[in-house]
Amino acid sequence: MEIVQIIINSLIRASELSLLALGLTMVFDILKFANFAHTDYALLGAFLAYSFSQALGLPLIVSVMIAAGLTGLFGIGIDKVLYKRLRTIGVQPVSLMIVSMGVEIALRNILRLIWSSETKTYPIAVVKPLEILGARITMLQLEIITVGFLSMVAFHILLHKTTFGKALRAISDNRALASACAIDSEKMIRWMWFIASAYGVIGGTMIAMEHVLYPRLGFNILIPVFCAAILGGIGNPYGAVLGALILAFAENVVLALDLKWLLNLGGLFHFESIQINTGYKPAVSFLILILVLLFKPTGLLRKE
Amino acid sequence: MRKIAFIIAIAFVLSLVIGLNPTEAKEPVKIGILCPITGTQAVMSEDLLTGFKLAQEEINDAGGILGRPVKLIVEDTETRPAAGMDAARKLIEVDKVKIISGGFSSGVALPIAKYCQEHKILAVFQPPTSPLFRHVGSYIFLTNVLDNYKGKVIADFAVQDSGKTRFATMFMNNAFGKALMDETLKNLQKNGAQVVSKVVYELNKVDYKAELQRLFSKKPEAIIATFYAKEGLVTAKQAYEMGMLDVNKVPWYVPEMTSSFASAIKKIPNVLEGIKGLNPLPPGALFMEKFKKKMGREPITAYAAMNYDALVMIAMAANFANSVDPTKVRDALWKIDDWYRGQSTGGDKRFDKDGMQGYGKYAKVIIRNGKIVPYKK
Repeated sequence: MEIVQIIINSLIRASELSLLALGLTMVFDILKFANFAHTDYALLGAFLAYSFSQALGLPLIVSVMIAAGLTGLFGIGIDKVLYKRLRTIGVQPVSLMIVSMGVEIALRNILRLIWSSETKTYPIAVVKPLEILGARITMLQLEIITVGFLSMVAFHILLHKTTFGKALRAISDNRALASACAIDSEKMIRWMWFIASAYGVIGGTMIAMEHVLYPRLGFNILIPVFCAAILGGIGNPYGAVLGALILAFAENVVLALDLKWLLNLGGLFHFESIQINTGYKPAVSFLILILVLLFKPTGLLRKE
Repeated sequence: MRKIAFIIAIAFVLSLVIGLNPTEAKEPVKIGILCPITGTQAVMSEDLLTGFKLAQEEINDAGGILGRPVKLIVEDTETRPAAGMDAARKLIEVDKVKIISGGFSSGVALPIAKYCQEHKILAVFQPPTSPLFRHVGSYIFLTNVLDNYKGKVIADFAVQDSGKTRFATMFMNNAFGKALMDETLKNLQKNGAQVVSKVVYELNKVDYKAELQRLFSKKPEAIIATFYAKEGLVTAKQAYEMGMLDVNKVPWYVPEMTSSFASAIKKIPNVLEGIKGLNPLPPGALFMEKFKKKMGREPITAYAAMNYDALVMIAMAANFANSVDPTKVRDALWKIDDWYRGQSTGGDKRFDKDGMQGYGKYAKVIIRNGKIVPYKK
């Protein structure tokens, strides 16, 4: 029963993280910089969805779709105002990364200014969970796992079964060569921003639906999202999904593990129970990240 | 020219005689206020600030401090130690305040207390409750009761009320959580109870399912747990969804009920039904009346009254000392506390030799029909 619950909890966490890590890794793949404001874009969308559903009374799914579209346009707008100009004058990716940190701080405070720092919740009733093999899961959590899975499938189809996907992969591999083949790289970059931001909104909204919504949420989930993207191999969308899965399972499994079978050394000692202190939960992810990077510095799925 | 100089000299001497300095006659006494306007405890900031403002209005109406009005300079701690330190440094270094109050949460206020002590800045904090404040130094005062008492009271209450012996505990990983956990565990053992699972959690996370799973992994018969508002909301929701909030099977006891569920009780009150715990004693009738008049509602937390008491006591001590020098005000605090009847923690605001509140009285409460109400078995 406990194992099933751990699997369910991990899948929920992975579904939320992977959509966010996917957007982050897309931006890195094409523009070669880590966008520190990515989770705040997601949060902007989550707040917009909240306002559409609360103030305008729109159904939540419609609110999320509109918010994802608007945030996608916002991502394009920020690129046009900031990153494109800097790219044009030849600014290095590391500088773009620092600019994105500034955008993160500014956006976080704008969110606070508009929506205040009070904790908000979506109009979703807290209901008794369903029981599956002795473990519990709510309808919302089932929907989160389903939406997460379908979004990843849709992304895979987009990337591998469409001309658009081919063009996107082409500019990721070699932008100059892609441009020589008449691919409008700036147009593709705009689309990339739109998709990355919109996917982020779906992930961010799912986190806020399952938990709570507040302006600092984006900053608070930044580290696990980065961790997932780097673990899988930043720049590789499938790596982002794998990284999110590993991270989610690590957080849940390690805390549930009882190491007495290991440390009792076959009966030499008689520890009743040895479990990792829950205060070290955040360290678990980083330990795994460090170990993976030691043996595979590019991450699990990224080629050298 | 000589005539003008003579007139100025006479005016200066006269002003000294009647106790008025011409340059400082209306210069306000600045008092720095540290408040969690944003962050995990932001939900209480309106109440906390109202407590200060009510006291400020009363003090100024009564002539202020040494005839000077009180000016509050409010800074946001974001309920985070680093942001709290930045706010305190700004108050001390830029605004040049000599007296600080507020501070919300031990984890935030403890490093600030050390900084204040080093700089001889008088700090009257509330509601921090960590016993670690006792050892910081002579410039640090608390108007809330220390966790030594709370840990004992919650452990006694939980064991006697539930009749259970297998407990699991869940506390946040900061100065407040650590101190309260230590005292609670010690007193659970004294009561003959066994602690089968101890969970320490990080603040500002969005997922506490793994921690909850651990909390229930050894089949406890009862839970003692405390939160801040945001974590309380997330954890209560997740515990309910994981079937862990059935208080008829496994009762929950919460040492800081309002502080833990200030957000949850607004958003998901039905989930919290039957949770028992402690709260500071309710504010005095006088404060309640003033608060209701100003805000049109009752305060959600008794901490508002502690802030009121803190500012009133600072003003009384300064007037008593005939000075706003922090050392003199500090010494006077030990003199006026005997006869000041406060509006918080039952009214007794006497400080012990370390500037701490020496008495621990709490209200036993339960959540019924979405409200925190007094509990009697």
